[in-house]
Amino acid sequence: MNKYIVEAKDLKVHFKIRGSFISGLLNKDDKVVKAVDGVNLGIKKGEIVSLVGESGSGKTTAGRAILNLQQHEGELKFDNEVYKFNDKTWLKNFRKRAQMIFQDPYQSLNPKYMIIDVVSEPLRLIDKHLTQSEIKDKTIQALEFAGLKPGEDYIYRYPHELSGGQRQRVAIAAVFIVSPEFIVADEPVSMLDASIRADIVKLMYEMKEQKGTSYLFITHDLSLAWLISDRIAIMYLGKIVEIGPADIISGDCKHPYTQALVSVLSNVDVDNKREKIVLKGETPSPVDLPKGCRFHPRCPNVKPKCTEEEPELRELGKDQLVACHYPDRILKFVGEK
Amino acid sequence: MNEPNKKILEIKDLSIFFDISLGTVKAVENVSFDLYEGESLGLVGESGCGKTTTALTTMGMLPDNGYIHSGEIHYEGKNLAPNTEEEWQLYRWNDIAMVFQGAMNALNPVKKISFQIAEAITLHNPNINPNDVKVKIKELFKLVGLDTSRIDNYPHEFSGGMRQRVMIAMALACDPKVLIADEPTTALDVMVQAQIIDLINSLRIKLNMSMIIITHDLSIISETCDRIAVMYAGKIVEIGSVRDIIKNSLHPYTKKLIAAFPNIYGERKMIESIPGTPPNLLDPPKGCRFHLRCSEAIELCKSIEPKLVSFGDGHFAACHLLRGDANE
Repeated sequence: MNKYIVEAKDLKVHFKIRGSFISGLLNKDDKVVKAVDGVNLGIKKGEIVSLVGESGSGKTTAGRAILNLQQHEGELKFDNEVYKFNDKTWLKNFRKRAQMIFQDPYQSLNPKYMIIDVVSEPLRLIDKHLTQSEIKDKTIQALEFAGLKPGEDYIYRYPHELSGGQRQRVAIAAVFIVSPEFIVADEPVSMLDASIRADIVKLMYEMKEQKGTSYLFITHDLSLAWLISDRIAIMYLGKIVEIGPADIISGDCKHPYTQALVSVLSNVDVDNKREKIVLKGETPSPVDLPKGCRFHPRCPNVKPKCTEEEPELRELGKDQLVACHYPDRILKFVGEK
Repeated sequence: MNEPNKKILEIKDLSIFFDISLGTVKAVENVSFDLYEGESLGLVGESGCGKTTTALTTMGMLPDNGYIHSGEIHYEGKNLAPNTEEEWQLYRWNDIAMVFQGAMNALNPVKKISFQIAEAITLHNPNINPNDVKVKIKELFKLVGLDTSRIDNYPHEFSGGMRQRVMIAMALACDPKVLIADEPTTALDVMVQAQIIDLINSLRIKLNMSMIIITHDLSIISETCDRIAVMYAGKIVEIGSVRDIIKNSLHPYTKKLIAAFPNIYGERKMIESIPGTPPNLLDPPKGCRFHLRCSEAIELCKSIEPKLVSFGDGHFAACHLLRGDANE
């Protein structure tokens, strides 16, 4: 039996930027944005993997590519089968088994649809022979699972009548109704108040516990990722720089970028203030990638080799992969501080 | 944290109402707090609890349908609440300035950055020499850590973090004594967030300003502020030093708010949310405004509103379940 639900090998998404008319006449090459540039990632069945990175690191694009919502290069496997882009029945089946939760519940629900239409749409697309009463029953069931009880009260309402948290629950109900095995959740709580985001996160966790659903959880919130996931992958400029069990965040993460991210995490605990490694400047543009290690212009511990040669992901410790030439040096560097 | 000396801003029993077609929204009711010289105060609460409204009122910038129902705003001993627009203009930006929420949208996209900062300077110092304005803008750019050669750029040429720095520079244009920052780090990346927090902290010390930081993120406040005021549905429910609020929180709402943030240096346990939604301020519930969502509510909470009671060292909380100092 295959233990991976999704495997990505050397996944690449490159966007061409059309140059100006004049540069076209001069036969200049179009510039290319390397949004995702060689990602290797496997998600086991029943596992939550978080993909963490700053905006522009390519985490959303990677998630969309994995769900076949984005043109890409590289090999993708779902349940040990290579994606069959030309096979309509395979694609239809894939849609049923793999779903996405979007970031903004204010934009992801069609304002002209009633909640019953929003929630049952995936179901109606997959099975065209359902009767009205079956659709209604399943919608109510899904809404109640998502915490909108009693479901009858909600099915004939419109999205504008609901609050942000309720809308996100509707979006989750619409995903849950087809019982997918794999879900890409793209920043599902970033638009919500801190006081209600725990409910949404718990709901997703419950689905994992009950149905063994696997997740790719895309977020910029490292502490939330640490809280709910089994493994965490840190992305920087289209590449994974470190991946390992969630505990590495609170323990020994090795890549300097991860260490900096962890050190600047805001923390409510007033007794546990640590020294911050605030990186200077901002993420470089993915059009002109720096030579060598992508992180070297901002790395506090850069060495000549880093500007020449790009480090590959290599195993350091149990299940922990790091793309850095000098991970031991960093440990020392932090220890010295 | 050295002992704060003088009160610079004193808000007394402030109530702010909005007239809308459905009735009167009691956005802020009986809010009182002091801001000391050189101090940083955090205002925290869920969306719609009246944080931004309170801040806009201390700048005299309420929208047309909003008004001060009662209460006083004392700035350096003078009550500003009954001010007319002309009188407000003497204080606004010169004494009290604000960094607005959403740096992405607060700048005019078709005007150069230098023009927009110059506008703020010349409006408040009409007799200033144009060359001095340029010098001042460059000084401000240096102060907030921006490249002075880029003063003539347009907002779209700047990244989110840089635009937030421009907003801060603009707020500092007239050397205010009080700076209000409304959600200064929301919508920014974590690393940029850390840079902006660093900047705010260093500016406060360098310029000896008093600050009010408004946010819904308790973790940011705990890193930048001396004191925290927790607001719920238009009222302050607890106020005190950062340590008192975080480590020794008394009000059930504060406790729940803190439990909603994960702590990576603590135990890995699921965060808790607060059930229900904040009340409709058109018709706020009787008694304690939090009683509908409070797990510890008793009969008394449904009828009588609790008052802020002292628990020593400037720590106040409003809850029937707590008993304050004996002299209250």
